[in-house]
Amino acid sequence: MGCCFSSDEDKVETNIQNPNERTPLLYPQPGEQQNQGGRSGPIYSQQNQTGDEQSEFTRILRQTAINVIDVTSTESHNIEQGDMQDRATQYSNRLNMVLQGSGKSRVYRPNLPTGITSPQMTLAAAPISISDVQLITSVSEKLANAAREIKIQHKESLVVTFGVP
Amino acid sequence: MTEELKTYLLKLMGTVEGLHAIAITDRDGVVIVKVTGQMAPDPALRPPFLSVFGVMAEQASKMGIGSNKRIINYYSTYQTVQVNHHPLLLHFIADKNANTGLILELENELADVLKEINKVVGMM
Amino acid sequence: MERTLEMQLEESIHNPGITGVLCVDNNGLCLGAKGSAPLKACGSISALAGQAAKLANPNGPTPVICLESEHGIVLIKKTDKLTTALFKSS
Repeated sequence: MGCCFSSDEDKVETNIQNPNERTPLLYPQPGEQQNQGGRSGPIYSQQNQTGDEQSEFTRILRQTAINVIDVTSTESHNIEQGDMQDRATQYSNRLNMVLQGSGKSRVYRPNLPTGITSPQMTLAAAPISISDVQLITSVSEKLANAAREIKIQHKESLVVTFGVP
Repeated sequence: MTEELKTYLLKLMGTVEGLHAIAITDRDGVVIVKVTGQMAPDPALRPPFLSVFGVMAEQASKMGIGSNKRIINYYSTYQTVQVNHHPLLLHFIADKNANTGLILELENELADVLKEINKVVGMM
Repeated sequence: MERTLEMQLEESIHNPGITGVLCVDNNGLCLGAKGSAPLKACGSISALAGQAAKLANPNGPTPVICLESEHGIVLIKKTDKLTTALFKSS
């Protein structure tokens, strides 16, 4: 299910000759601040008195477009293959630069705890008591039974249709 | 220097049984660094797959329950764990039986590395 | 739904010496925790139990793992779909 006002439409607004189901019906006033890709926050531009109502309307529209969950927008987000390659090469160069600049050497060390100060004490301690074994066995058995009872309860519909007569 | 980082990531990857690949990308899914094992499924490491998570996380953040942090997908043979670590995205591709909890914990172990990779994206 | 599990967790923490209890599913994801149980250990606990189970007789009962330290012990046991860890202070 798509929507009329996808947040990504800002980029293709010159494409009025070929309107499709994703072409917005209303366009923002020229000169008004652009809200790219639906990622930026609210608009704080100064608006003049005359266009107030109109600009407020477009603002609401755009805000709605940002708030709408639009899973169809995945395709329109894809970048050109070439651009992607360029950016990847740029990243790898920069990464090399940054890593060289930091001068830290990254040698993997297993993340082990510091251990205990007096191993002889712990090693000489009495072995685990049978009551502890019984405790963990009974607790784990009880919890396993309780976990088996977990069932997803259907409370309300996951997909809600609204605005559809 | 990048080789050293890759060796580090490969070692880290080896600590979780069944983890096949780690990719760190920008929010559009452009790879900054990635390491793969022999078993890594190729489609999961190509741009069409990697780029979707950024968009999905953005859309999922609109549900009114805060911003989306992680998306875990279980498939019939693989699982993918994707983490939104603004401005970076982390992608872990693993076997379906791999320990998801351990994979999630890798994010913390990577914190140091991510701080430096952050700078790479910051320069753009 | 998960009320029974919550109740069992609450009950188990009242055993003498127990400071925390954690239960983890087979994917290493936390199902429930009570007391001072480190949530970041979820993955490790289920991995540890999985490794130990490979060493034991597959037809016999699953092994109980006990980690000893100066401050206390951690008891871990796996059932078919769940791994339980008890943190006990000495």
